[in-house]
Parts: sequence; structure tokens; C-alpha cells
Amino acid sequence: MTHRLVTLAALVVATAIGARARAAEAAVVRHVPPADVTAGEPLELVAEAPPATPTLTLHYRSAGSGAFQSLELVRRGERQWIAVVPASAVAPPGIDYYLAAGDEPVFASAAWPHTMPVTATVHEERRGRDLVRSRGRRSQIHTSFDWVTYGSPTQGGARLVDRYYRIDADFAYRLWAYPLEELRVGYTRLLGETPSETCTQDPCTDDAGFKVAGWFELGLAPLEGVRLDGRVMVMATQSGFQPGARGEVRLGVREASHVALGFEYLADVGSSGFFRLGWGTVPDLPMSATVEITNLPDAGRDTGVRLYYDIARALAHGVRIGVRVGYAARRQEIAGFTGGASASVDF
Amino acid sequence: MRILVALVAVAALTASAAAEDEIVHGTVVKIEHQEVYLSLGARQGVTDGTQIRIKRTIRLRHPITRAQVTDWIPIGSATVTQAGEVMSRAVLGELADEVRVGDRVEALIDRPDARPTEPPPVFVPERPAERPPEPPRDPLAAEVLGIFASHTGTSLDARIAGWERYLSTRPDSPFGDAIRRDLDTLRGLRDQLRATPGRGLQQVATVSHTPHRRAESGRPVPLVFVLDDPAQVASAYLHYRPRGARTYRRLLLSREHDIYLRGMLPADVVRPPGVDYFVEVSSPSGRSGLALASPAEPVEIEVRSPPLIDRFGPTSGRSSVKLGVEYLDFATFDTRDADHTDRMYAANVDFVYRLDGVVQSIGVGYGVMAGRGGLADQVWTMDLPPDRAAFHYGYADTELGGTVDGVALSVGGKLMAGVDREGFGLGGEGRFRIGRRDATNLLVSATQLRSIGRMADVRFGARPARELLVGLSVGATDFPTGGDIGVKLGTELEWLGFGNTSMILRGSWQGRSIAHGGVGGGLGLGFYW
Repeated sequence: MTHRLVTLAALVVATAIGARARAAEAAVVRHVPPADVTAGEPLELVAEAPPATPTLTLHYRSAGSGAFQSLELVRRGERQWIAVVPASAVAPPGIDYYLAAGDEPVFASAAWPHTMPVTATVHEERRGRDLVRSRGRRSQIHTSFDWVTYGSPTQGGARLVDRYYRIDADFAYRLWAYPLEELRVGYTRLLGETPSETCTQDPCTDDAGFKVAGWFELGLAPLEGVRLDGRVMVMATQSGFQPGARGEVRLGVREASHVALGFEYLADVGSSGFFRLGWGTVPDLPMSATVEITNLPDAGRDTGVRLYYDIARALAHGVRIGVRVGYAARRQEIAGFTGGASASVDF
Repeated sequence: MRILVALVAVAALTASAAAEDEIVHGTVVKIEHQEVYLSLGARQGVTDGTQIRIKRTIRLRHPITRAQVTDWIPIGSATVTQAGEVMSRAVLGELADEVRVGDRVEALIDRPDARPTEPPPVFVPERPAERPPEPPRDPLAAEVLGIFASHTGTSLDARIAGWERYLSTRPDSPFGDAIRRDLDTLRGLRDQLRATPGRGLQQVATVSHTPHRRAESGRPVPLVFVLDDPAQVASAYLHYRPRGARTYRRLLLSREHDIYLRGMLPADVVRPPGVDYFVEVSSPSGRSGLALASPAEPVEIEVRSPPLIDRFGPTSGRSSVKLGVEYLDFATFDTRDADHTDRMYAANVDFVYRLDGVVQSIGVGYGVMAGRGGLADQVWTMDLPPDRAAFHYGYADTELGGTVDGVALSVGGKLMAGVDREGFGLGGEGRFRIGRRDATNLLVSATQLRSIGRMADVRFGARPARELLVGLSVGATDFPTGGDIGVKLGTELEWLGFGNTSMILRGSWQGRSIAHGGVGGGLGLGFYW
């Protein structure tokens, strides 16, 4: 009797040990996460597990959000199991996932999934950041009005005017075909009145500027955050057809913090150079301060200086309005007001 | 069956030997070079060739009750080379570095005289010593107590490995904080014990791991290591550093499903040009060593520099606007007869944006300077009115700098474009600063403005209180008309205690001769955001 009991006990113990060993073996699922996963490419995840392993399931989601999606791993060879995450799900910033055998997590867990960073190509990452910055809006219509007066100089005892206004209207499309970032096409009207340099009747003023100028601008960005804007203009001035050009080198974003240096040449209408510092540290309230050296609206006039401050307000639906106030002078004793307004809509 | 017989025989022999031996206890009394002197000698039965064990008493806390517990750790063993009557000497070799005076010494003495003539006594299990009552055991407490009990008499490395393994699998244990404190104590003891720090680590285990080649700056990098032989590893540490750092930081890796070690490179070390790491493990016996890479040859992840555009991100504390007005009179104390008018005023508004890196700030501003006089001894009359000058200008400003041997150095410049009575003109300013702008610093600057004149200035700045900036300056200038050179001594106080707004107060004395001097002052407002 005792012998039988001992034999029975031994059998029970042996069975229990064997079952436990098999369970332990089944539980060991070995998975080495891949590295440097590229966005938009199918992702192959491989696990090594004994044949006796119950169904292996991959649970994955976009990093940090949403519910997990499930995908059953399929056998490949004696010990390998494989799952392929569809390319559409492989997107920055990464994928959270874990593996489960049956209901038991065997690699990471739903509570603490493994996050695999997903990187895009340099250009795709940059385009992604640009999309975020522009809030997905690639087109812009913009218009601005500027009023500049240098005060009232006297000539022969008479007070004269020295002023002009300028209207710009343009359309821009963010191409993001780097280094070509943006295309812009626009229209400018610049008309003014300034003391004459040529008339014989003293004192007198001349009309200056042009009624119509068309232009085309390329926005090149060889590096993200470094922007070169180049503009070619054609215009019908007081003396006839004339070309013009404008260039700007900018670090930062035009509608936020940036520093820019630029010039504009408008044939016989004049030239200007400017330095601008902009900051976007107050949300939805970008500001900038500009120092400009210019002889507009007539290339024959003395060079003066314009100092102006811009502030804009971002409204809903991509609409932004702005105002400008400043000061313009050709000589220390005579100065005038600079003011303006602008509006744009991004869509 | 044969094995059983052999085991019984070994047990019997062991029991017999134990009955003939005696363990004598002494202490280490002196260490000289690689030899140690013991308080044991022939009187206790120690002879040349006697094997000794050296132990050290340590005091620990009970992991559950936190009562103080005395225990010991093995230091090593040696052989007595020369036994005296009451003392003896043993050669330790490299072990001498780890032994301290006061360490316990035990020697197993063979005593033939004590050999029993009677049959060996029947083994009676020793009645366990009565222990103080322990708090009620829950499963977690029982596990901790089991680990604690298993550590008795084991090495520091083994104890550390045991607790590290526990923490890596039970990071949220209610006993975790206490065990972490005990771990610090144990590590401290180990550091004291190891007289030769930086001992080269050997590879003691291997892990499977696919390293990232690159990472995004400022984003944490999750890492997984798969143990090739989990039984060999009790705990593991991830050692990491930003590339170029001299030392590594470490992180206890979490252990999951027995074979996985998981951790994360924190975002603050993931910065250009890269981040390095390696994995160190401890075996259950406490032996520590490498499992992946090494301190000298770590795994390297490249970290791309963030795009330049990020430097212009909407970070607070970078922007400021300052408005100021100042009036200087060079003739306040000129008591001579006749008109010696000599004064000027200046007003300006400065916009500054600060950046990280070599370019420390970029600014733009507008200003006006105007004045009359400018000569020390000239008498102004109706026919000879004081010279007048004025300059209205805008400017662009930048400052470049860095740190040399911990000292901040920077150079800056300002290009001014403006108009005076004759028309358009330029001006400029150059400056050199030692020290940080918002702390103690010395600034040397030189300015030239068309029709206004020149000025050279040395300014000492300090921050005696958190909300107060003080500036003291000494300068020479021929402002405001480029006339006679004078001296200007200035003081500036800026109070930063109004939230984002500061108040600036200026005072000065300036003079062109002993008879021609005066005072000045100014006010300003600063806005920071």
C-alpha cells in the first residue's frame, strides 16, 4: 500500500514538474525590437517562440494615443513568428506595441507598451514640421497698405510735400519642394509726391512711383529656418518700363521670431535696405521692429531713414490683421509719420 | 544509488572533522605593505600554514522593521606565514587593499587533543534562536524577508545584486524606498571596500539588442535588451551620457517577463552630437560586469541638431523691450559768468531677442540724441549761439559670445543709420564684455555717431540682489557736438521686482574741466517676456 502511494505521489510530482516546465517554455517569447524604423514602410516584427506557444498577438497603436489594434503573428519556420505592421500605420513619432500569448503579455504590456520611434526622411520630417507651423494651410492671400511721409520740407519759403503710399497684394503657395519652399506672385502700387530735382519752376514737386508693378518671388530655404526670398519686378514708372528686384535673407519664421536683412531696388523709383527683428513670443501676437534706409519714392531724392513697428493679431480661420506705426526722416529737423495696415488669410 | 552512498560518506566525514576542529577568533591589528598582523598566535593554536578567513562586521537595517541589524561580510582568506606566541603574520597580496585594522579573523584549528574518545554524538538539530516577533507577513513582506535572509554572510556584491533584482522586478514595492536606502548604504560600503576604483569591468553576460543609429534631439529613447541567459543576471544598469560628458549616469533597468530589460534614455541627455550607453549587469552571486559595450567603447547614437528654426521658437524669457530717456548737463556747476551752455538729451527704445549658442542676442532699436554746447570754455552770446547737433537713428545690434574656462566672454556691435541736420549718416558701436550680461560683468565699449561725437566707456555691472542690477561706468566723450572731451561717471540701477517689468534709474556726473561740470539723470522702463 505504502509502495503504491509513493509511486503515485512520484507520478503526480513528475507530471506537475513537467507541466510547469512546458508552461515556462511556452511563456518564453523572445523578441528583439528593431531600430531606426522608417515612416511609410511596412514594419516586420519577429518573435522567437516554441512551437507549443499559444496564439501570439501583436497589439499596436500610434505612439501615445488611441486604442490598440491587434494583429496575429504567423509562423515562419520552426520557432519564428512574424507580424507585419501596415505601412500606413508606420508614422512619426512612433508606434506603441506589445506582444501577448493568448491573453498574457509576453513582451511589454498594455500598461507599459514599448515605444518604437519612427523616423521619416529628412525632407518628410521637415515637411511635417512646416505643416504643423502653417497649421496645414498651404496658400495665403496677403495685402498691405503703407503710408509714408517725410514731413514738409521748405523750398523757397514754401512748404512742400514729401510722401508716398504703397499697396501690395499677393498670393503665395507653400510648395515645400525643398530647397524651394514657397512661390509668391503679386502686385504693387507705389505713388507719391516729392520735391522735384529737375523742374525749373521753384518750388515744385513731382509725381513719383508707379501705378502697376507685377512681380514673382521664389522663397528658397537651403536649411530649415534660413530663407532667401528673391523677387523680380516689372513696372511702368514715370519714365516708362523699368525692372526691379527685391531680396531678403531671413533666419526664423516671418510670422514669428526672426531676424531679416534685405534690400529692394525699384529702378528710378528708388532703393531701400532694411534690418528687421521679429518675435513671436506672445501667442498670436507677432511683432517686429524695422530699421530701413531708403530714398523712395524717387531715386534722385536724399536717403532717409524709416523706423517702424509692426504688430499683428492672428484671428480664427487663418486670418491675420496687422498695423504699423513709425517715423520717417530725410533730415533731422523734418520728420513724418509712417503708418499702415495689413491683412492676410491662410487656407 | 552510488551517489547516495557517496553523499552519506561525505556527510559522515564532514561531521567527524567538524567534531575535531575549533574556530578561534581574533582581529587584524596591523597592516603593513601586503602583510597583515593578527591577534592570534600559538596560544590559540595558530601555526605556520593555518588558513584564516577575514570578515567585516556591518550594520544594516532590517528591510521590514527597520531595526538595526549586525551582520558580516567576507573579505577574503589567507595563510599564516609566521605564527608567534600571541600574534601572527599572514601575507595577503592584493587583498591587503581591502582589509582594514579591526576586521574579524577566524581560523580553523585542528585540535587532536580534543578528539573525542566517545562515539560521535548523535546530531540533534539546534533549536532555533528565539527571534523578536516580526510584523504580520503579507506575500510581499515574505518575499523581502526571504531575500534578506538569503543575504546572511554573503558578499556586498551579492546583496546589492539581490536587492537590485528585486527592485527591477518590483519597482512599485511598498518596501522599495527602504530598500533603495539600504542599497545606497551597501554601495557606500562597497566603494569603501574597493581601494582600487575603476577596476576594469569584464564581460559577464550578453544581451541581444538592436541599437538605434540616430535619435531626435530632446526626445527620450526607449531601449530594450533581451537577456541571452537570464539565469546569469540578477540586475542590470543602463549607463548613459551625452556625448562628450566625462561621466555616465545610470538607471536600474526594469525586468519584464524574465528575459527583457527595459529602460529609457531621458530626453535631457538626447542632444547633439549624440548619446552613449552601455549595460552593466550583476550576477546572482554579486559579480558585476558588462553585458553590452563598455565605458570606453559605448553604443553610440547620433543625435541630429534641431533645425535652426527651433532656436527662434516661442520660448519665454528671450524678448525684452527697454525705453529710456537721459539728460546730461555738463555745466550745472559752472559758476563762471556768461553763458557756458553744454547739455544733451537722449531717448531710445531697444528691442532685444536672446538666443542660445554663439549668437547670444539680436536687437534693433530707435534713438534720438540732441544737444548744444560741447565746449568747456566757450562763451556763448547772441551772435555766437551754442553749437547744436542731433541725430535720429535706428540700429541693428548683435552680440556673439561663449565661455572660456567658465568665464563668459562676448563681443557685440551696433550699426546705426540715421539722419542729422545734413541728411543721412551712419554710426557704430563696438563692445567687449567679460561675464554674463545679467550678472557680474565688465563691459568696454566705444561709440561713434555722426555729428554727435565719440564716446568710450568702461562699465562694471553686478547683481547684488536677485531683483537688482547695478552698473557703474567711467567714460570719456565729446558728445553732443564733437567738441571738447569730457569725463562721464555714471550709475545705473535696474529693479526687476515688478514681474515682467523693470524700472531703470540713472544718475551721472560729467565735466570737461574743473570749472565746467554738471549732473545728469535718466529713467527707463524694461519689459521682459
